[in-house]
Amino acid sequence: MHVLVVMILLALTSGVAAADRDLQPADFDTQVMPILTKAGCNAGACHGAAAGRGGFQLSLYGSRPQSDFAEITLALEGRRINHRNALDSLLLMKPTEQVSHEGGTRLDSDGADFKLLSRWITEGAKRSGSAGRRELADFRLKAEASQLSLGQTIQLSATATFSDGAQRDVLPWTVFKPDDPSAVEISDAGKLTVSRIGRHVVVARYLNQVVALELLVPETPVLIQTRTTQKADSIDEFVDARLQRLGIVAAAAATNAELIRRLSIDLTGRLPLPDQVEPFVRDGSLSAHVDELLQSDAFVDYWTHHLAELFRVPDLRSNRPAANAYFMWLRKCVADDVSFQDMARQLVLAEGAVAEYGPASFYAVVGDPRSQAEFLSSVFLGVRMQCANCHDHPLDAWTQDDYHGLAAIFAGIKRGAVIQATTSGQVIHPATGDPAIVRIPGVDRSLDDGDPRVALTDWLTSDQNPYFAKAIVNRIWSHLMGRGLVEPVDDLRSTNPATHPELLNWLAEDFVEHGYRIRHTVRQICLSAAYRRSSRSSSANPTAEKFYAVGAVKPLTPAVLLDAVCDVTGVRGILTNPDSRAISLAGLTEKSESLDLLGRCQTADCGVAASRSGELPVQLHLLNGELLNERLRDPNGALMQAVAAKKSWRQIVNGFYLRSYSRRPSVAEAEFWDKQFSAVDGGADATTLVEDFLWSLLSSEEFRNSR
Amino acid sequence: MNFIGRQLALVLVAAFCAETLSDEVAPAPITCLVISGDGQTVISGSQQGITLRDWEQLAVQRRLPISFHQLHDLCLSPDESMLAVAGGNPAEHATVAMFSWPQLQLMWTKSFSEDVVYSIAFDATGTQLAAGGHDHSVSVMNGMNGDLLHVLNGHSKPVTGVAYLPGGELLLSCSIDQTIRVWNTANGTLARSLTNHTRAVNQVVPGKRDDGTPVLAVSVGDDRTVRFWQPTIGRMVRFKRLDAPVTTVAWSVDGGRVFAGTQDQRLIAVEVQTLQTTVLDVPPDGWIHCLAVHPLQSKLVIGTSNGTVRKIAISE
Repeated sequence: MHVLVVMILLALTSGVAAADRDLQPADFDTQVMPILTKAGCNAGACHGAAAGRGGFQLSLYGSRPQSDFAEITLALEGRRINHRNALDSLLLMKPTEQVSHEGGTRLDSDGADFKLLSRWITEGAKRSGSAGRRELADFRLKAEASQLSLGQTIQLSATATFSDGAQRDVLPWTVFKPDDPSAVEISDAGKLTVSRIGRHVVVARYLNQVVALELLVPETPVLIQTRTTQKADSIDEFVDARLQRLGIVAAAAATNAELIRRLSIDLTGRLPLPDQVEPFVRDGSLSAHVDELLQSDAFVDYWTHHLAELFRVPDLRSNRPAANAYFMWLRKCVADDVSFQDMARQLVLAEGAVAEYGPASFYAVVGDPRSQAEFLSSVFLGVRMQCANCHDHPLDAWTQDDYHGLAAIFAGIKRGAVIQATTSGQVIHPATGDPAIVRIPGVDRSLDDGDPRVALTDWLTSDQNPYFAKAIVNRIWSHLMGRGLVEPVDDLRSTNPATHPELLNWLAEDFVEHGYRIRHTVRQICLSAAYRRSSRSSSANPTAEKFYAVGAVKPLTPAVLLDAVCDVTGVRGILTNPDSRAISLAGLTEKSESLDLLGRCQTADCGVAASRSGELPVQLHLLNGELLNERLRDPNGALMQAVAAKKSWRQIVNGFYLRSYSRRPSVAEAEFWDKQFSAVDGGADATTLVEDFLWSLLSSEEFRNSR
Repeated sequence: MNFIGRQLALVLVAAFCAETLSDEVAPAPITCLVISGDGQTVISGSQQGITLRDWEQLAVQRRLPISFHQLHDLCLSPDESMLAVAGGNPAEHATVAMFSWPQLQLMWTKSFSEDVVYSIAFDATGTQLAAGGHDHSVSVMNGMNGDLLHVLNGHSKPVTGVAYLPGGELLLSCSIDQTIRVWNTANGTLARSLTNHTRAVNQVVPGKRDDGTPVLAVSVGDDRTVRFWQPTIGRMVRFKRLDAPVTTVAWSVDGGRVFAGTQDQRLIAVEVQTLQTTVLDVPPDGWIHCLAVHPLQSKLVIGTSNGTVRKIAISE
């Protein structure tokens, strides 16, 4: 009876959820730690930083309760806990700012959390032994609705299930982080309100588990049937379903003129030739044209360029023989349509002379085992594992053991002119100071003796690997559609969900079923209605492009833009070999002021975010630089040759519109140029005008972008 | 006797010899221990204050509360006429107090700094007292009245240990900043830094040599090492890596061994010359925060984070 009265009184006075408060004594792992996390004590900006803060170091978001317990209660002879008078404990005095605290006030000294911490100290500041320790088994976050209207408020609930079978409401200790805090507001009581249409993701953390919650706010409460011009295929079923839920109307299909330019740039990195354009505009077969492009040498050249950036060929610019071998191996893989699975196997298991055996340079482009682990996880898993170097990944399942265990797999790699796998070498685990144990990320089993790369490769390229296929299809999708289903493309994790998770799964499964062939997935995407949509949309919905309701306007990459300028003007000469294209190996590795000015990638991030040419320096270079002017005036260039051939102004205008935009000028444009050219009558003014004409085309937004 | 047999015998001997006494007031960590020169009294410090125990039974004879929150260190003057205690209130002030010994009459008390003192040491004459603390500095005080003589700045993180070398010309300090610093006591200048530790250094203790050979000092740290130094020339002589971070260390009476307490609740004897180790079995009872070797018997006492003072037999 007395116990019951005390419990009721405590519930009335403390406000702590009764179910969680009744643990006697208070539990460090599941009651104290969540308070510290909720208060932000163990956040990366505070004591959760790798080096701690103010001499007090906690694991990031409480991922290592054992070390946190020691730091709080034992370090520096227990300075943070006062057993004589709990309220004099530094652990309570700092966050309530009874003594100076750089982090400000983090706890209310009248609040339930303060009282629970105080009680825990009074009870001896203990941690349960491993036998009886309560651990978090499951954490669920629920919303009253996943689709809501603008301004609507819904209630969130957070429930934890512990190893003792108990289920608790842990909403008060759940940390919420919306992807757009300016649009999503969450009160302490878990009331969520969204003030912007579209898709929002809220990441919730309780103890060491993080979950993501997706919320959709349609433009209008009534669902609208999307309008597509072609029969939907599988990709479109997923995309259209999403659009329907969001109430977004899809744009009409792009014109054939737009589509041939888009396809040619996306698949070959080149503008379509004028004599290809008009037949396709008249009655071209899309699938036949896509197949033709997929089988072209230009496709091989361009997708080799893509893979070369992904696999960091530019990092070998000081070792041309190695760069050449690496690049040519990639080119052969693309030309032969080698499965991406086989490519990964050859790369990860590579050994040999880098100047002779291309895949060996997979180990030459980075300098140490940790960098190798990060490189591999980025290109093949699409994940950013580097966070786990210093601490368990705060937003993913990767632990420090995973990171350093993966790095340890590469500890025996001897780098130099010859890549050699040996059994020597160690990677020191910073948390233990001991050599890290080789480990496949997320897999709790020891590896057999021998080259651990074999087991890694088996796991990596397994059909069941949850990352491998998704990572590459997401990159392909990003290239063709303007943005990845997961962005950034190297940040696949449960707390960064895809805009279309089912589509990503489907694409990955389809990729696996079709032998990990890049061409197959490229074809699938290019034939979808989503890919064919016009980039011109009447929809004012700001999220329309994000959900592929309209075609993306994609700035040309520096290499593609430069090649396009050269192709239209008929003047090359940007590299040592005047015939070399910017997307060639030379374009990746040779010095080129133009490429650098246009924003050629020169770092390890090349494969992550291919640089695009829409930025201010690029525009200034095009508007004012010699790149265009020299080519316009070149007597051997296409423009001056046309003038010398005494072609009519109209022929010149039509011809360069087709070369540059893959279309003829509109009526208004034709009238404009007629008027301009009629006003001059040969001579110097006419030459200047014709240069101005082509300059205006090449410096226009339409030219610099793929629509 | 095979290896297992020897370990079993050690366990049995240690268990037989271990006599324990929990602090019955509250389980505050025992942070410091001193045994009087006659070997009759064990003086311990904790948040509860100063506790005197008789050696034989470790029975509490007297408790003396303190006026501040944390008591981190205590030491007897060389002539054992004074007992200095040090600590303070975390994030508020450091306090050093001097008591007459054995009367325990308060002689003076000084509060300074903005955070606690973790370690104090008398010089050989008993006229100077060094105090190293959380504010990264070492304060050198007049032992008779607490007046501040020097403040030694140089550590970049809290100072966890201070100790004078025999002769008193040099003072050692160790720190969480992974260094040991050697100071000239005459003018407070830095003589040298010893930088081999790779994590926090938790204690540094000079040995006592009266045979003319260079004095060795031992240091222990979170890098799991026990390191031996010739601090007068700054040379690390040798080191032994243990299995867990080492929290405290003390020399044997004959200087041939050191005893190291670890975070994994073990007490390990390390031979100075050979670095051979012997694990002294101690029942798990929290971190060993401090230890003191009996001057006359082959025993030592340890103080733990669980508030236990335990007597341990050590083989010759």
